[in-house]
Amino acid sequence: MTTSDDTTTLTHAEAAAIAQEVLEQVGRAVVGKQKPLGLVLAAILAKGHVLIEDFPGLGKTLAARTFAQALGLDFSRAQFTPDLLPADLTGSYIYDQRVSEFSFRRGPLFAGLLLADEINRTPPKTQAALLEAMQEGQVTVEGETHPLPVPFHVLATANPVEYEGTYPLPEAQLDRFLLRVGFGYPTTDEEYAVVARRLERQREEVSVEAVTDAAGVRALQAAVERIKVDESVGRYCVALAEATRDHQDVLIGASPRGSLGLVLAARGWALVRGRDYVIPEDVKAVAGAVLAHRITVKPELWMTKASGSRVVEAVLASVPAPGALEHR
Amino acid sequence: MDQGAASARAQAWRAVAATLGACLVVTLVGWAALIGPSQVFTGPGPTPSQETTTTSEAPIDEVEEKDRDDVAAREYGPTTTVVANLVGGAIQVLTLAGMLLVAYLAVRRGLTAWRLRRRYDAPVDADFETLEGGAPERVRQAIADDTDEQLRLLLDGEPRNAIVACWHRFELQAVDAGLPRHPWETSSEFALRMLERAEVDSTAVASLLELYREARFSEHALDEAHRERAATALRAIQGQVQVRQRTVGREESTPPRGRR
Repeated sequence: MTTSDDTTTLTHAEAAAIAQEVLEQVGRAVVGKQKPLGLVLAAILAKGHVLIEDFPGLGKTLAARTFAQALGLDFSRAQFTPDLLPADLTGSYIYDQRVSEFSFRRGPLFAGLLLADEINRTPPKTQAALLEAMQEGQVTVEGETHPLPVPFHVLATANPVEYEGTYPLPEAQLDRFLLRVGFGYPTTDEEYAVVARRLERQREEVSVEAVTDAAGVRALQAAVERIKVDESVGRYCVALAEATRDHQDVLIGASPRGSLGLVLAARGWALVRGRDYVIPEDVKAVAGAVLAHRITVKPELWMTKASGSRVVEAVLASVPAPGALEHR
Repeated sequence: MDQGAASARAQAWRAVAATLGACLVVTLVGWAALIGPSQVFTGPGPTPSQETTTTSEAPIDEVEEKDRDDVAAREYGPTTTVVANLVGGAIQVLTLAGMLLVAYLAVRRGLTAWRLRRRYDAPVDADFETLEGGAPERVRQAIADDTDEQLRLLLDGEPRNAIVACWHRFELQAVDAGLPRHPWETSSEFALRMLERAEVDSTAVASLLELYREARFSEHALDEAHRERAATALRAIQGQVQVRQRTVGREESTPPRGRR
């Protein structure tokens, strides 16, 4: 399942159809929220990791589990608690008495989709254990490196309001997440739909059909890699990231990884929208989710409404977008 | 938007007034503090101890007398005066430092409030400008005036460039109608805003928009079939604009019923 030579080539229309089908399946479990769900899928297709930050009870965990089911990936969940140790995530060597030697027992990291629930409740030591896994796709335990399955994606959740007993993710760790999305509260009708579906289902858990499998996800990701980005659009992404660095409220702006993330996420979003080329509107659609968490606002502005999202909004409303007559 | 700016300005002024008020109160308190303790420490001192030494009418218990003498000696001793002066000086210096700090903070807060006030002002002007120009009739008139030229551009030259040039023509028409494109707006966002203003049916617009995006940002090969589809969509848009112009004109020329 982790070999990559079984990847079949998909045309962009086939890939877009599969992506739509995945979103449809996820939409059966999670009511509404098309934009954030589309963003999460776009990030997975762009080989990225996602941080879902919102209040408890808004369907973060459900969305992550449903994505794993619909994408046909191995799913594992790690509840991040204050006493969680790196070895609890990566796995560790355990003495096997039958063969009189140490054998490696794999931790929850060895999955296609890892749900890191309440990631900010665990100390930095354990958070850092995720870094290598997320960036390199491998874990090193006692000097020995173990490759993780491909695809490997982390969907982490965090609660933005409770600060007691939490360890906010450091900037270096936040930068590893391609997107940070919030789900927000459902509308009245959507909320009733949640209730009605639960009553109709007559059981708590909800399961959806697998649309594809790990090989299929790799093929989708390969299709995203073939999506064209016009030079003007690429330069627009760079200009946006650059503008966050010069904004008056910003202490540290988005890194070059931010502009790269912008292009990659926009490609994923373009595929979800059924195109094999990126338009500036794709960049605008993903900009908030890609850039806001990479921006550190000046500490003296803590009492004002200044935030990463507001900076991104301001930047989007000031950086010149590619015009009609700049074609090659 | 106007109201928002006005309330922001009121808020800014309120913040400045509040800090000035706080500054005044602190100054008064500081002044009182400077006057009060300094007199206590540097003045002639309390009188009761002097009385005890001069009064002989009421003989007081020996021990108590001795105690009072001790107290008096301590109060008027040279060391006590030095300590008192030192403490008084320290209080004065601290109060002055506190007042300077408060003044500094007040000025800084005022500057921040001023900066925020100016920041809220900018969008008001921009919105005002947008509302001024680009009335629906003017936009429709601009599109109608440019019908032939836009169609000629679309039917001329390589399909990809022709479609892009045709779409760009909307921008020029909008400038004529007093509805300029914001630099941060993408061409599609802007043209959509403009065509919405002209109340054109969205199906034809969506079809032309899709072709423009494909021509501008993809590497797909575009041929005469694409040009034909674009021309159909453009003719539909132009036709709708003319129909809309006529109906609006008729509505304006016939006086509304039921009114005297």
